[in-house]
Amino acid sequence: MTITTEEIQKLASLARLKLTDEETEQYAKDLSGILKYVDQIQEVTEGVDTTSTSGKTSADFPHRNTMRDDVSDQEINPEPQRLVEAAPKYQGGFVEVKKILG
Amino acid sequence: MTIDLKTLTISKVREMFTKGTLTSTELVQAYLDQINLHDKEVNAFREVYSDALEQAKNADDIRKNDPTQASTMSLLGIPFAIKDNMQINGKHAGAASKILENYVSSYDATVIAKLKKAGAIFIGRLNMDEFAMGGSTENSAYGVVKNPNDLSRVAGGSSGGSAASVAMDAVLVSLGSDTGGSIRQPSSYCGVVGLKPTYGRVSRHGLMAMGSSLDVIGPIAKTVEEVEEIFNVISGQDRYDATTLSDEDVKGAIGKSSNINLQKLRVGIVPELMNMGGINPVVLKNLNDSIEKLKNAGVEIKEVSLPHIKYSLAVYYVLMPAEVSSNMSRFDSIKYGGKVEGKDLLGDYLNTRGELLGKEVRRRIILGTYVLSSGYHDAYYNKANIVRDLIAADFKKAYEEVDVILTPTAPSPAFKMGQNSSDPVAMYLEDIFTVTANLIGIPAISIPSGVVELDEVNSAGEKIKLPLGIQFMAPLCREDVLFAIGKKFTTA
Repeated sequence: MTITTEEIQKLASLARLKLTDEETEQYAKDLSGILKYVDQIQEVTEGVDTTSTSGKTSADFPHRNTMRDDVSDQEINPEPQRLVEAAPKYQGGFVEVKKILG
Repeated sequence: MTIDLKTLTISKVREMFTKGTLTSTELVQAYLDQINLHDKEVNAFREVYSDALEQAKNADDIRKNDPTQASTMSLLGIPFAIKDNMQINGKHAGAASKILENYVSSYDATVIAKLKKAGAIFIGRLNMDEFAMGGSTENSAYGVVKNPNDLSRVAGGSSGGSAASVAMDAVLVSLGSDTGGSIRQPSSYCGVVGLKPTYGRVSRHGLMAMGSSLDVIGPIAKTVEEVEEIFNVISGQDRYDATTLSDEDVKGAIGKSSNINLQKLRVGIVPELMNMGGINPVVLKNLNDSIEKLKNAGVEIKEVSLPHIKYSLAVYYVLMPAEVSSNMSRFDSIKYGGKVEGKDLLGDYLNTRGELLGKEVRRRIILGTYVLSSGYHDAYYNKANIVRDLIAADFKKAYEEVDVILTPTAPSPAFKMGQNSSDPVAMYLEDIFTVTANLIGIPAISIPSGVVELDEVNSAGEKIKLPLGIQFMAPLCREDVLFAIGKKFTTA
């Protein structure tokens, strides 16, 4: 599998990463190499009728849904103001963001 | 007073504390001196906390003034250092990334809360590959961690600082995190013991996520006994991490391997893994020596077959980047972390993530975005999950024959800085023995298994000796098996 620089540009834009031309070329080369190695999983033909998308099922891994009541947990909640102040930009008790509409 | 830091263990320190022959303040001062002497070169610490001595003094005061409380705190005054991707309330945590350069934690990770409750103190945070992505700490935004055994080589990664700090006697014990070998491989390179617990036995609340179906926190120390003690303190179900196992889950899992006799463990070796090539001859020789040592100690050795294990690394390098690409999307320059302004919101995203995330992190995000993109999702992500199940089924079958499986921890001793940095696949191959335990959730431990003497000499004119490590992998929730075989091996 060879990855082109156009594909890298598209993936970078989907992942919201700005790349230089040099980086784009390097990543195209790197990804082609990694995918060539990873492609060996295509040799495996067993188990393809299973619908597993989570893994670990055959190991009897004790997976199950964990639910809780939808109530706020004051024991853990850090002070809201400290969380707001972790933002790169804030005003008072609010996180500041750029305008996205009209 | 001079303290022989080399031979100190938690139990020895505790005994000296109780007898009054050592205080936590004296011990922390000795570690600070050691850091001052060596860490400019090694670079294991991202930060040494300015209140380290104050924490130690508090612990000493509790021991002096409140013996009742002190007796309930098993780790009172014991100095820890913590990988830079875990939250300690009020301290910086940066995952060795520029994007979190000024980030301050607003709560304690569950492992930290548990250690604090037991009286442990924290002397600093440890260098690592950026967001735990790497096997050499060469991906840290703050410089590589050098191997204390040979400063021209890497300490391994991603928990390079966690392993090097213990190996250079700059701290008694540390915590690391392990997504594909990040505790075990640096432990092997540095000559210390590192445990990757069963997935879900230690809470990840307060650990920065990398691969959420793989990540686990574990201890690094000089002995198996210490790693066991720390594991017992930090493990347990946590309501803030829904993936932690309940006592009932653990009991159920142990029930499935109840035929194991800890006094008479059967160790499996995997010929197909040893014969696949790419393994340094000194590592193979060391493995064979280790097998002989176990045999001489009366341990039964048996060959087992794991036909799909050869695909583990390929499976890992599909699933891990997929999870990385989704976990890293939280760094949006709005909620926390750094920001590089653009002309609009999209520009903020592109600039911030493009400029403040390192090369390897971006490589994995792009790879993950690719394997999850429409048209490739079935061929890569779904296929990898199918093979992941086949690998788990192989292990289940093998554990009918043996109680624990033995491999080298890494295919080579610590490598030279820069040796693998131009070829990502060569770097990823260092994870070949370790990723499987993460894929199927089982516990694994790396134990020092001797040294290899090189023909090279260091600056002092002495021949360089590099540590090697072996890995044991046990069935789900059978950390007890790892501790038993580990003690057997180290005392044999």
